[in-house]
Amino acid sequence: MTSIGNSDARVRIGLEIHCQLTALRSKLFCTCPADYRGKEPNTNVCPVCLGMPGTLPLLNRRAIEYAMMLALVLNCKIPSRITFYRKNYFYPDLPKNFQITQYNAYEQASVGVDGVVELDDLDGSSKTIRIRRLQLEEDPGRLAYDGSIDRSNYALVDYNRAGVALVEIVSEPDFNAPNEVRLFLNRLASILEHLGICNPALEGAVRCDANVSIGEQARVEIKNINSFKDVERAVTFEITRQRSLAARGIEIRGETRHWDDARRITVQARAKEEEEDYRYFPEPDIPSIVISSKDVEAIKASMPELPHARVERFVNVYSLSRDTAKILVGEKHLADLFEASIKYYDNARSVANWIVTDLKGYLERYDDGGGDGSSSSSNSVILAKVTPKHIAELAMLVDSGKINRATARQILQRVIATGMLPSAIVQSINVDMLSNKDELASIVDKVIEEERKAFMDALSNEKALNYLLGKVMRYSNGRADPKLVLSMLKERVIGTSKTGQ
Amino acid sequence: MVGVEEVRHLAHLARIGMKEEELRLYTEQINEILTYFNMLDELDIGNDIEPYRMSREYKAMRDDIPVAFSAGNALSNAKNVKGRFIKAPKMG
Repeated sequence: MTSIGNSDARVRIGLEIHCQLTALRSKLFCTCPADYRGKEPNTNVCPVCLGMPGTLPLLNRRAIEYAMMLALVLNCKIPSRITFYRKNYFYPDLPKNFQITQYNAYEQASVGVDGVVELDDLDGSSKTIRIRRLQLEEDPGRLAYDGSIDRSNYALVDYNRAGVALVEIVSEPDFNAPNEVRLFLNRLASILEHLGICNPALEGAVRCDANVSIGEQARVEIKNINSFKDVERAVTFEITRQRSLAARGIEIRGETRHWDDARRITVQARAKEEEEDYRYFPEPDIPSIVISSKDVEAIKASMPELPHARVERFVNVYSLSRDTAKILVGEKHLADLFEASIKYYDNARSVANWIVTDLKGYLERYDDGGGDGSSSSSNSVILAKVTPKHIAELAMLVDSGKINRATARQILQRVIATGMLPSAIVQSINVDMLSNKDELASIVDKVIEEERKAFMDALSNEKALNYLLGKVMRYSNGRADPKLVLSMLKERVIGTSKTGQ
Repeated sequence: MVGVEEVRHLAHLARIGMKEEELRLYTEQINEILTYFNMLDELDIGNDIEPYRMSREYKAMRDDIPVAFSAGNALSNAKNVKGRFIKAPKMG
C-alpha cells in the first residue's frame, strides 16, 4: 500500500460519517415528510417519531434500497439478514430515550459490512481504506438555546428532524494524513451525488466524527464536525495539538472533543456513555429483513452510472485525459454541464478544458467556503447562470479564432454577471472594455436612481451590490469593466452611509 | 447477581437520583427478579436451538410516500413549551 501526500504511518485517523438520505420523501420509520428544513418547530412530527407509547415504527423500503446502493458502491458485503437495535441513552433530542440503529456485536446485521475504497490521487499514488460497517439509523431532534449555550438554563427541542433516515459509514483507522481524509470525503460526496440519494450541499445533510491517535498514544474522538470541508481542518488541528502535547512530555488522554467551527479548534466535551452503557438490544418492533441475492441483484441493476464508470466513459468515448475526466466527475454538476454542453458543440476536449480550467478556476476564486464537500452557495448561484450553451459558445469562439483565450475569460465574467450569451457579448464589444470612469458614472447613477431599494439594501448587505452590478452590465451591453463598476458602487455606498442619507 | 454499585450506575444512566437506602432496596428487588428468571434455566429445551427471531419478507415494508400527521398539535401534551419549542433540561 503506497500512501498519498505527506502521510505519517504513526498517525491513524478513522471516520464516522453520517449522511441523511435527503432524496427520501418520508422519514425512516413513519410517514412524516423527510424534508424538515425551514419548518416551524415541532410541526413535522407524528406519534411515531415523537415516541408515543403504543406506536409502531414501519420501515421505509426505499431507505434500505438507498443504503444498500451505497454499501455496494463502497464494496461492502450485504448480510442476508438485516436487523435493527435499540441504543439506549437519555438525552432531550431523543424522544423515545433510545435510538433505533444497527449493531454488529452479536451478529453481522447492518446493511453493509467489510467494505473497501481505493483512494487514488491525481499523481497516480493510491491506498486502500477499509470500511468497517454501513448502517441505517434515525436522526435525533435538534436542540437550540436561548442566547448562548453556556448562559441558557434549559434546552429548546425541535423534533422535526427526529426520525429522518441517516446512513452511518464507519471506516477503519486507515488514514495517515488529513489530505487523505479530504480525498475520501470528496469521493464520497461525488458518489452520493451520482447515486442521487443525498445532497451534501444541504445544511446538516452530512456530518462527520473523526478519531485521531498518534503511535501508541490514546485515541481522541472529534465530534460535531458539520461539514466535509471542516473535517480536514479539525483533523489537522488535532494532530498538531497531540504532537505539541507529546513534545512537552504530556500524556494524551483518551477523550471526546468537540470541533468549534467558529474558533477552528477542538475543545473538550462532556464525558459520554461507554459502549456497554448503551445496553443495545434487538428492536422488537421491527422484524429482521431477509435479503436474498436476487434483491441485491435488483438493487445493482437499478443503480445509476457511478463516478468510476463515468470517468472510464469520458476517457473512452470523448478521448478526455484521465485527469480531466476525474476532475469533471469529482463534482457531478461539472460533469453534467460538460455532457450538456457538448450537445451544442461537439469538441469534447475543448469544452472539457473550458470547464476544468477556466470555469472551475473562477468558481474557486469566488468560493465563499460554504458548508460541504461540493460547491458552495455562491458557486451554485454562479452555476445557475452558466448554461451549457454559454460554455459551448465560449469554446467555439476561441476555437474559431474569433477571440483569444484572455478575452474569452473576460467574457465568462460578463456571462456570469449578465447571463448574456457569449456571442451577443462579442458583438456588443466591438470596442475595448468600458473602463473609463466618467463614461461609467452616468450608467452607475442611472442604476442607483432606478434601483433605490436595492441600493439601500446594499448599505447593510454587500450581496445586493451584485444585483446592481448586473444592471450596470446590462445597460452597458456587457462592456463595462465589472471590477471597476463594483468599486464605484462601493464608493457610492460608503459615501451614502457616511452622510446618512 | 448485581451489587449496589451497578444499580447506582444504572440510576445514573437513567438520570434518576437515588438515596443510599433506595439503592439498597432496589438492588435487593432486582436480585429477586433475576433469581426468578433463573427458573427458565431449569427448562429443558434441548440443544442447537436457533434463537427465535421474527423476520419478514423484504417486500413487506412501507413505500416511501409522505403523509403529514394532521390529527393534532404535537405540543398539546407538553408541559413546558416556549414558542413552538419544547423546553427540556440542559444536559451538562
